[in-house]
Amino acid sequence: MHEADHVLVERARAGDSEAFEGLVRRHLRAAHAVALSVLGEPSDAEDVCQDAFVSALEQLDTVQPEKFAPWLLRIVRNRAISVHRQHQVRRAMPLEWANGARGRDDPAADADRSALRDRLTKAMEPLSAKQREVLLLHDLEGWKHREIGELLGMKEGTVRYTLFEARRAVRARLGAESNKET
Amino acid sequence: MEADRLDLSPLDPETEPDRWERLVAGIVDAASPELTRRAARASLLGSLAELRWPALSAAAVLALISGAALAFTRQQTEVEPPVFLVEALQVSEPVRGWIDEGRAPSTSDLILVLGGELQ
Repeated sequence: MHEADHVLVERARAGDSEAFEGLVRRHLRAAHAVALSVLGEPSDAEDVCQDAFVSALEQLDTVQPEKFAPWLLRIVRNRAISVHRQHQVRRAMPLEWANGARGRDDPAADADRSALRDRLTKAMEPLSAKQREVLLLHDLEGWKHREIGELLGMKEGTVRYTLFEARRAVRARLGAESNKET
Repeated sequence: MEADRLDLSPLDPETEPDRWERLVAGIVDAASPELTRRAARASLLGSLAELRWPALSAAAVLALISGAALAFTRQQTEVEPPVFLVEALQVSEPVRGWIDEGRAPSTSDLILVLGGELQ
């Protein structure tokens, strides 16, 4: 049964584990995309998602249940930015977006996908965090321009243009790479 | 516009279902202390809510009884006139006059009173 967010939020407030898991399953992909757009590293994005969901649960009484999704994604973005800054300080150099493939249980089986992911993440490297966020939410998560605009506080037209620019930049990088290979 | 969509599926986290499920389970595990705390609080509030109506009913009944008792006591106090010692002892009118005036009865007073009683 597909329960509305506000119902799940109310149940999670009362400590209902199933309801909380429902919220996690429903919003984890978008949260992951937002974190990935800032950090570039999938395993870092996963850590940020975990922290953000727990933090959201702790603050659950402060949110209007109908506005759970944008509120959660703001927490995710803020956490990701904070982690990004910590990385910058720790490494004393700018964090490169897209550090490549993460460790895997079965590297051979996923080699092709891993190579593709590397190419894509490298191609997205020069984009701004906002461009990556728009691109991932639209082209990976299937969000509509309006929804992205509401989340990021952008006009729909600006979202469209940002998306257009991001795609063009990624295609140019992928094309340049292909030309290099041939 | 949709035709322009980039194929970003290699970045889809659910292409590794096991890893994805571990991530979901990890988040729920990490949240379990907070969920337990919330469940305990909700249970306590629920118990209090269940007690609320009986407790309110009992309080209303007590208030009603107390009010009635108080009203009855007041009525009693207001209706009954003050009782003085001279009235309680049923002292006759001339004698009450001596007491009020604070004087000793004269011989003629005593004859008058005794005469009245003999009549």
